[in-house]
Amino acid sequence: MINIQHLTFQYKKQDALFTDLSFEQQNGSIVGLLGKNGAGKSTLLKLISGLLQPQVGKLVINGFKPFDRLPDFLADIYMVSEEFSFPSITIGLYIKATAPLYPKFDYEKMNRILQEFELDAKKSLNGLSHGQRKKFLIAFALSTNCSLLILDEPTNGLDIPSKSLFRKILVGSVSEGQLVLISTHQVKDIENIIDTIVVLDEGKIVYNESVFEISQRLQFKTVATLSGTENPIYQEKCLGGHRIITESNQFEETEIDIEILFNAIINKVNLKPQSHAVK
Amino acid sequence: MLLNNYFNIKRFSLLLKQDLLINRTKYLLGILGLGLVTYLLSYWFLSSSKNSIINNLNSIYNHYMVCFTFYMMAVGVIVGTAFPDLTDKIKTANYLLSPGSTFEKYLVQFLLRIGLFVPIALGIFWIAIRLAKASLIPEMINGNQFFDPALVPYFEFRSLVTGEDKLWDTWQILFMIFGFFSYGTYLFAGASFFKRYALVKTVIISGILFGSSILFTVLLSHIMYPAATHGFQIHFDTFRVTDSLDSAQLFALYLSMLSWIFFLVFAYFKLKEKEA
Repeated sequence: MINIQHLTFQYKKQDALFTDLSFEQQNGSIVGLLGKNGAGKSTLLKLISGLLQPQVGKLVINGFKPFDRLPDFLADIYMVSEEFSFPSITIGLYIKATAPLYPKFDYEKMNRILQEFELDAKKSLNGLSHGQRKKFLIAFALSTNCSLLILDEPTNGLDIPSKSLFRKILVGSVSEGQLVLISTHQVKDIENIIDTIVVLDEGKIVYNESVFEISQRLQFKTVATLSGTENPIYQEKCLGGHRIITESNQFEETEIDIEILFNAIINKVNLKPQSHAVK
Repeated sequence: MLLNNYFNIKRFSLLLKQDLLINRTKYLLGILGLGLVTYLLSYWFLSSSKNSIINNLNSIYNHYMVCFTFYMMAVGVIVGTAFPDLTDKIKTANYLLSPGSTFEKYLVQFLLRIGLFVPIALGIFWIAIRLAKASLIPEMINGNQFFDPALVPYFEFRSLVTGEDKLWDTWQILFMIFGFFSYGTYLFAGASFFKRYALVKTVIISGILFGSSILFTVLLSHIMYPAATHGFQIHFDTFRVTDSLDSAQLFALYLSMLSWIFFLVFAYFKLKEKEA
């Protein structure tokens, strides 16, 4: 569980990145943390994982203050960073050496995911391509069964088949008691797997909504012309017409177009009702 | 529960096992390489010193001492490269998020670099230097002197603390043992203090500190004993503490016997601070 209240953080000799940021999230969901480049997504993840310390505010993760980095806290979170490095050993040896540090590690799940990703346990980690190493890291993270999994740009470096495989494996590997936080600016990559969308912009959480609620209230369509369309909340030109967001009409439910939703939020479009906007 | 935040024997053993499994090849090759280099250099050094050994067989002990001193410097290099994960940003993040307390991670490095490595290194030295001596070839030197390696005594650790067939005084032996230990912990603390090139920086800082101490002592000698001090001399009064120990020697003994405690505590808190 993530509980952030009135958090302020700034890097040395820089303007504050977050001021009065609040965010709460219960376990049992896959959250997509979206934001523009430089919005502070990776910094927020580092704060949550305990790599950085907030200057002001309350930050509690699974009942722990992350920056204390207590062993029980560290054994129950796993972070897949955008940049990573491995020792020059085989996949099998890495698992043998590191997995016991995570009490809930599932070896069977690890083997299954390795097979699905077509990774051989006898291969040296440093002999793998960047994408393969990332797949291994994701496989390891999922197998730890940690209560909180933090994935920072997990699809960067993955080829197209691997991206869809990643989505399939992620959905099939996460249990009810886990919270998965996925930070990405490639919104298409996480479509259909997240159940909550959180948008970070200008140092604040400007949007925090479950996919269910969004699909109840909004519709996403592509239309040839805007004439005849009643009051689109947001629209963008695209090949062959316009992509639009409209209010739901209760008869038809559409798939969420995260990209246009994100653009609408970043362009400060009011996606009513007002009560859903994060203060 | 509180203790569990700092130390848990199971977690500690898992961290230790993790390090050994990941780095076992590196450690094994390092130890073998150290042994091989020690053997080759010792053999070269002893071979090139045959002249002085023929003239005085006991001079071999001085040669052993030289080899041992240089060997301990090499051991210091390995001790001084502790906490290798703190040298780059990505590895540091992995290290910080690894499930273990700061104390456990510190203890793993201490145990690997000093507790386990130093005894192994001493064993390697014993083997390498004895092999080097055993490899010496009988030969005529300068046309008229016969060098017979069979007459040359083998290295024993005891010989490091023996002079003229007599064991050193207890305080001298303690001074040497704790001196080496404190030197190791000093390099270990240096590794936790500096982020990059820790060993080089530690050596440079040692030189600066040592030079400054000498200068300061010379200065004090000139101020306190202007008549007795000339040029770059150091002068201080000593008094006898026991029959075989004067106050200066006692001070040196204290320094070697106690400074490792300071360095170990310093290293731990520096590591804690670095993690912040």
